[in-house]
Amino acid sequence: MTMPAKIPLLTVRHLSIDFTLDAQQTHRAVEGLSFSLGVNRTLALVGESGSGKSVTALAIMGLLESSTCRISPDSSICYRGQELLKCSATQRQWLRGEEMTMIFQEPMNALNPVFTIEFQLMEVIKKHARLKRLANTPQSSSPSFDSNDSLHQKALALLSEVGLDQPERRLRAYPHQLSGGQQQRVMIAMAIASEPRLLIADEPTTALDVSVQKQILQLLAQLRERRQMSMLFISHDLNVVRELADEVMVMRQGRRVEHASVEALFSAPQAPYTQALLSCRPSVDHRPWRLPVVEDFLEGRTPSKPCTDRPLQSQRQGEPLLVVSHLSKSYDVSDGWFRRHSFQALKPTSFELARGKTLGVVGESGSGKTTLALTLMRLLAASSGSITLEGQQLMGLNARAAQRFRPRMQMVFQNPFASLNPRHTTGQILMEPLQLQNGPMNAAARARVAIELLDKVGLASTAFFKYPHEFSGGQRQRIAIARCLSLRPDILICDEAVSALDLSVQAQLLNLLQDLQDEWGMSYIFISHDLAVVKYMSDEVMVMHEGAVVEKAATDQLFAHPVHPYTHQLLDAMPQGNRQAIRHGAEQSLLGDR
Amino acid sequence: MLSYVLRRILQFIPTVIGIMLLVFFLFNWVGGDPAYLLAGKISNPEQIENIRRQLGVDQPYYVQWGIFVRQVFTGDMGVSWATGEKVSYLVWSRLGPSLTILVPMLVLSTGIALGLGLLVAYFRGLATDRWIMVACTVGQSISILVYIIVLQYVFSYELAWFPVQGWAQEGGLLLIPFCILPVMVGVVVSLAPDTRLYRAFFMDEIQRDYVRTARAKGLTEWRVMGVHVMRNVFIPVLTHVMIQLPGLLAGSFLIERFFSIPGIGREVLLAVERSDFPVIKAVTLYVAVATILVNLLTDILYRWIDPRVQLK
Amino acid sequence: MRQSERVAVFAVLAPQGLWSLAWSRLCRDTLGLIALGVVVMYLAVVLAAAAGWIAKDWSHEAGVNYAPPNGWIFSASPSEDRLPVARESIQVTPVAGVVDPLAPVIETLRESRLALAQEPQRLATLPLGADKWGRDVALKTLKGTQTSFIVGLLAAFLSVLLGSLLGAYAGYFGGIVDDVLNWIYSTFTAIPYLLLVLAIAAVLNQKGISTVILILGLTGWTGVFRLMRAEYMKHRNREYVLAAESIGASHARRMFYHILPNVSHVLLVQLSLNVVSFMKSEVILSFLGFGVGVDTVSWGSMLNEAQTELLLGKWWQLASATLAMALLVTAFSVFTDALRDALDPKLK
Repeated sequence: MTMPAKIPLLTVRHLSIDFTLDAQQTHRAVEGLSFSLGVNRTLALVGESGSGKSVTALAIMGLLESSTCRISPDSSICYRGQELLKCSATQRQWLRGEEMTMIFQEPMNALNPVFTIEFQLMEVIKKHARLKRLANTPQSSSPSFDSNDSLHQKALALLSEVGLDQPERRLRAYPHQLSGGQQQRVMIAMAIASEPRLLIADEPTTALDVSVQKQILQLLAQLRERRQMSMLFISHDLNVVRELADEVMVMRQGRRVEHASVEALFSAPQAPYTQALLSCRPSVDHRPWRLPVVEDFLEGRTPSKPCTDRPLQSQRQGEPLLVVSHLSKSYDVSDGWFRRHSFQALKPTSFELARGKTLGVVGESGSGKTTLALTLMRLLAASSGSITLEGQQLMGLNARAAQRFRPRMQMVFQNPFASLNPRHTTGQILMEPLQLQNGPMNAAARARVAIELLDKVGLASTAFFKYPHEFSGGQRQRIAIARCLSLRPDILICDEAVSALDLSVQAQLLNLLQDLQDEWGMSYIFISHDLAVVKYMSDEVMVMHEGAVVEKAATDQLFAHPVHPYTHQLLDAMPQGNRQAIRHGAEQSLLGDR
Repeated sequence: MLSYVLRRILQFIPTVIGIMLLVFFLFNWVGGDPAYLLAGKISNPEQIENIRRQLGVDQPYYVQWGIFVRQVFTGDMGVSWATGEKVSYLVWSRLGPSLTILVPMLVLSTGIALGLGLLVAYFRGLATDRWIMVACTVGQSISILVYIIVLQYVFSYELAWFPVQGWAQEGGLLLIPFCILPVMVGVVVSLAPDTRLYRAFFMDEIQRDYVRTARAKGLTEWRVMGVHVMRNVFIPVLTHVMIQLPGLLAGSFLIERFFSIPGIGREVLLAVERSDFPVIKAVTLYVAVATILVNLLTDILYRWIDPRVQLK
Repeated sequence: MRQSERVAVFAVLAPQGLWSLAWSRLCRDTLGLIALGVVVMYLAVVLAAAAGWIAKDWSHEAGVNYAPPNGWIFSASPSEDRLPVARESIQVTPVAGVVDPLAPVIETLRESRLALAQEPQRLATLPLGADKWGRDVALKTLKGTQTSFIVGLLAAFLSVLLGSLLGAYAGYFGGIVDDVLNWIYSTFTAIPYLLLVLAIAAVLNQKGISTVILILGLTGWTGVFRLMRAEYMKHRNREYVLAAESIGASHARRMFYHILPNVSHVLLVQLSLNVVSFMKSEVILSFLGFGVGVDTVSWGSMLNEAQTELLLGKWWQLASATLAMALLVTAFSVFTDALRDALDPKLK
């Protein structure tokens, strides 16, 4: 009975989708895509941003806005022998939420903020009950079958099934009263309420913390098994998919790159792009001098085997450049009448940083990583503690004196779309620090320096006249780095500097940062939620949790022998692909027992 | 909840002081000596001298301020220079007619505009949407004066369906014929801007992710729009209506003037024409305090309409 | 490095790319461009009228009383029921022994009326008709446009300047600066706008264009203040501003060099919204007689006259003023929408 049937549940043929940009221009988001999904199987669509994976999912659901999207006429989406693209809007609407359901990336936004969980869940349950009653003959359905009480019980059962404790209380809650993980569980409960045959999950864990991510993935795998559904799982991360999918389809720029079973894809990837995706993510078990990037593979340059690992600079060399002791930041929060309590965003933190070394900082959202960075930069006033740069105490300096030390520490921000002034050209952005800090330097000299910096970060000098919106995320981050470099800082703080970028671009930027460190001898404070990236970049790692440093150790030691339970938890929650690597490349696959 | 209200009322104190300062500044400092203003309007020099003494015009400003503060806190804002009526009584007696016009006008215009907004948002991008929006833009660009002049001319003079102007002192059902046209004018005038605004609210909400979820759940488009989106649109609409409220009380003076409705707006207008400062002062203060109270009411209503709001 | 030399030359004249991008987006919006054309046309009329090239002698009584329009734009049959009362002279029999104190005045009036009556060039019809005294409605409309538009424009500039400056300081610095400015704001907004305008008009007790501009400008800044304060609060902690702070940019530099260009689209849209709303307010004020003086014509004063004229069936002054105003305000609103879309395409 559980044998996968041979007839596919869903068949997509020659799917092409165009977006209308304006009156004349269109953008082809999906190009001639074909695939099929069998009953009781999981297919993962994997690709970087703009690969057309979400658009494909929305097209299957029939959720694309007809005013901006056009599905080309020779496309076909066939669901259980029924051609969806020829169905009326009412038929599509009947299928949605009943036969096929979907969960989304940001559970906070996906739930209606002004209705209770009960209201939103009941909508699906009631619709399902009504349709079921219509399908049965009127006599056979007893009135008690869908009494309010039984529907209520069903809602409770669903919430328990998706692993929410205290379901009675959760039903009465509003979305904002739940955590991100709980919200996503509610979304899943709504998606399975009608016992659908197809569940589409669009990046369901991307917006969640690592540890929650793992639980949600496990829940989805269990539910698919138990409820005999098929699942279309969309992700940008191959490693996430590995634990979950039967087949993987890799997409790039709206086209299929490779479609294979999970075992085949991970053991012997055929397409160069897939190979690149698999290897350009830093792995935890070795540190090559340079990460391979997508271009290497696409241009057929077989990446030279990482012959030697980059040595860890764990041995102390001379005086520490930066000494931070008991640095803390707290906010006053007023609650009620005149009561105030203080919230400690950063608990007293001490560390040292030597010249030319990298300190990694890991933690989940809300762990105080960014507060630490902003306080170090003195963009936030610290509540207590001291920052000493080469023996000079920075706290308590007057404004003018403090201004002299600004150039010594610079910061690359997380969001490349927000950190560059959209109304200034690259040239203006790069020349401004020179104008502000380097005293009399004429415009021509400043421009010359700016061009050199662009060259240094791998951008053409034509970028000089362009505005930030004309660049991709990776290029913007390069400009942000160049802006920092123009002041020749001793310390560069990278706050999630590569987190918003696609994998392939991430590798290029990490390479750039490594090269710059080798050449300029800067020290880095490298902040990220991504353990693998931190491991690749850092000589020493600090783990932060709820505003406090819970563990600090040399990188290899921390990953090999974590001491603090929270560090254990973090390492365990890493996606399968990496965890295997930690176990020194054990070949055995957990997928074998499916 | 109670502590919230108490704390909010405490927070009113600086605003009330601000309003008193503004009114005092305007009428005692900028306005100057009422003798000049009243010279042509009140023939009796003794009466003018009396008014000057009451205000303490020849005293230093802090004494005048003291007189003003006492007036505000005893609620005795003096008597009208023009009619000699007690100002507080005057304002109170004009409130009824104003509200009689205002309440039906507000209910009707909000209901109709909300329905129209929903309709055009449902047909967004289609011809229905575009034409209604064009009509709204043009309708909005015509002065309220023209609406009143033309509607009054057509319905009262030409068609003679309604009385031209006037008011039934007895109140009750007799008022209805006098009310219909003013209310209609008010609704017509506010329909165009309100529809445009509410459509924008709907369009804002339509782009949210929860709308996509509602569609993914297989709900009909009418249910998505009429329940999920509508409930969220209520929040900005409530703000808009409540913000309008105090302004309308004094702002419907044009309608009240044209139709001779003895309301607050018309009283303000008469007072401005007669330089009857006590009346203007009192109305300004009362309406300002009403505004503050309405703001508080709005915040409390929010609690019921938006579960994310917590009153601390 | 020849490339860099060339770059260095151009670096000084960096192009305003985003503005030109917005302009090209606006150019693709046909309706918006037409609206802009109409607004520019009005502006030309206003400038010409202000310079005295056109509509200079609007108060000249060019036509007969209530001369109907001659059918170019409006047509109306010449009305037969010309009010005879105004023309009849009342015979006053002098009473012996009583000295009429007004006699000399009446004498001069009579003479001037005789002089007027002898003027041959009083036209029976005019393009848009004539008012009670036979003044050309077309010229009055042009002159009224000048008054209303200038009041709207200048008052809007004043209010946006005031509101944005205060809003920028309040939003950027926060703390005590914000508290004080916010207090002033909540004081002003507690009093309904038109009531405040009327109260100020009552207190000032003087008429004239500059008074109206001052009243509207000083009361209308609150909306701009609220928006600019919110924008500055939002942008103040944006990463690009933090980045500017970490390279050592001063407060003033961050406020006006970094943030201002990023919020200027809000200012532009507010400016044109205020122009429309102030023109409407001016019309109401002048209608009520608290606006421009009696020697100036504005759409509001025209509507005031038109109100009684309509009862006599003389609708052309009402129609002219209404049309002139509706066309400008519609064009301005459409242009504002197009401007908003062009400056901030995300909102569309």
